[in-house]
Amino acid sequence: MGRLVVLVFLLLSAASYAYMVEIVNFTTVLDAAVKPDFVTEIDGCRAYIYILRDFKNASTPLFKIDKLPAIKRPAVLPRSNEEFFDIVLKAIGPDVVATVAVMGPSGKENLEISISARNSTELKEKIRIALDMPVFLDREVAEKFSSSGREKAAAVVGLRIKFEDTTVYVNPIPSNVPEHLRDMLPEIYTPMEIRSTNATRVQQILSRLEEAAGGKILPGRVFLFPYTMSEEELERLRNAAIALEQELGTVRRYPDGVEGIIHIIGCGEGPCILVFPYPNGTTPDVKTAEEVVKRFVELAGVCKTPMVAEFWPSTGLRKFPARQQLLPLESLYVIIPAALLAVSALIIAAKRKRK
Amino acid sequence: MATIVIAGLTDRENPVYPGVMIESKKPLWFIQGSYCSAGVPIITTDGKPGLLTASHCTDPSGYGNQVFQPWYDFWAGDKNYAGYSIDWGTDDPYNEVDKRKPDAAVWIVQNRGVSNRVPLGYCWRTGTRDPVIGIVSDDQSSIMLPNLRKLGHATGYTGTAESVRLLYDERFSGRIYAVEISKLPGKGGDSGGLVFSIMCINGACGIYAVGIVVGGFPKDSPTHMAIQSAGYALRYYGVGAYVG
Repeated sequence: MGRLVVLVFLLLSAASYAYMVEIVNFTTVLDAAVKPDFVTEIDGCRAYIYILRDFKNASTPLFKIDKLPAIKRPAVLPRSNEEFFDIVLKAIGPDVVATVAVMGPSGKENLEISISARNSTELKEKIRIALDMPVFLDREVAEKFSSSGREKAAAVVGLRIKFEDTTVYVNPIPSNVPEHLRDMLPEIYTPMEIRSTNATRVQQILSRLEEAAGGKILPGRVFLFPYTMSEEELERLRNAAIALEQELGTVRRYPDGVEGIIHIIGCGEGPCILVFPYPNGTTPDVKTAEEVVKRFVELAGVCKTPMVAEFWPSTGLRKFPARQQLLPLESLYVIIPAALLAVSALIIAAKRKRK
Repeated sequence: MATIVIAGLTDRENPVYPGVMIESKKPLWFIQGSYCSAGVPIITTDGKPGLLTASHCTDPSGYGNQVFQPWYDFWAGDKNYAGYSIDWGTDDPYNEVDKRKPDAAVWIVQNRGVSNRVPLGYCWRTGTRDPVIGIVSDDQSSIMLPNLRKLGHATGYTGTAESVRLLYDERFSGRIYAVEISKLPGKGGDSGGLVFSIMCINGACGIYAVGIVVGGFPKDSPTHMAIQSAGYALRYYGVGAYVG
């Protein structure tokens, strides 16, 4: 019996320590990628320019953005959502936006409620008053309550805490994990996501969470971006791309897609990666590449450091429907009778001629 | 929920489910159309079930508006007729003047049922057919997802257990994400197919629809997959996700 208790304890410990806090800094993509062909300054903005000769073993920033090493530390998942929310609200509350799933006879819907609460009990109570229905911190409990009593019930299914340059998303511990997904829970469940452009702020948030959790590190994923761009700035990039494509004359349209366009990738949170076609169909030299990038920035009027410009041997989009080149079988139903008619007509005409 | 008997993504299926082969965009009955895949299960406000597919796989009107599953077959009579599409999207998201238009269309299924269950058993977790339980929000300009997968009739079930960052390509209309094709292999015939993540969010674990396959870039030999956001397309068409 004693051995069994030890075994269960060890298994539970292993499960809780399978969780980590991971920090990924997307600015480091410049270190992870190959060295740029050259770096240029455009009105105080630094552009890293890469000229890709072929796609084999390509390791420019766009091919490295998903392969950045994360800083990982073992973390401990709170035992319950009460404990989880208590820690979060104490550390970085009280003002939060709660996502609430409302369940009832007429179906389910998610609502967002701005609320101020110092702990999970206060959070539940304030949402209960706002919605006038029982509130739970566990979705499954709310679902059971709602289905058994045919009454409405709500579950807090997410919290969002916004700072000037950082957003923290809290994802409650799920309780309805299907059996065949249980062994992969640490891979598919991210208890917390922090997205920020300010590393100092992230450090402060993590320290406050650790302190509120009594020295334990909460699991989650932290993403650090160099900057963000507004919708208006993104629109200017798009218009600049369309204008420069016309100036370069690289765009070729085909039934299954297009070639020679400029791609504008990941610019909303940076680093912004621009993918240019070869301007004259041949590998550009440094001077030509620099001229193209400068012209793009001139047209857009937007450039944030670091900006990545990659010149690719080909760009564009190939659509993915399948269309066979051969005539379909069904067309034989038309072709064969038509051919028979034509042959018959020829025979009749020949006979008439002989007469 | 009807029980699915899975014969194959390229077989005639009833109910139809994400990933199955369709043919649409036929100019005339005897001319071949586009062969694509079915994507995100949806339900219209007036209760009609269907699936999202790519706009370039179908036509807004005429004969090319009809959808056949798995394809048009002269000898099958009406058996392969499977409904029609509501297509207010664009076939050319790079050339589209109206930057709101997605490369997505709604296939309203007729003549058979619709299932929202994804047959994961094709190459993983044998036998499991999990329902789509939610849609991944598209309100951020990049999304980090675990377990990104795809189901299309040409390359079947592909994906990665690694975490992936999906990046918007602002050049296109609608909302199109880019992800390295080595992580999510696909090819001609997969257009419209379901892209999803197996994850836990909002207190529930399971399949969340991310989008539909629309193509790859660059055109010559794609290194990246292009995915039309499902959340964006559903909002554009004013239809709900068929989840459960």
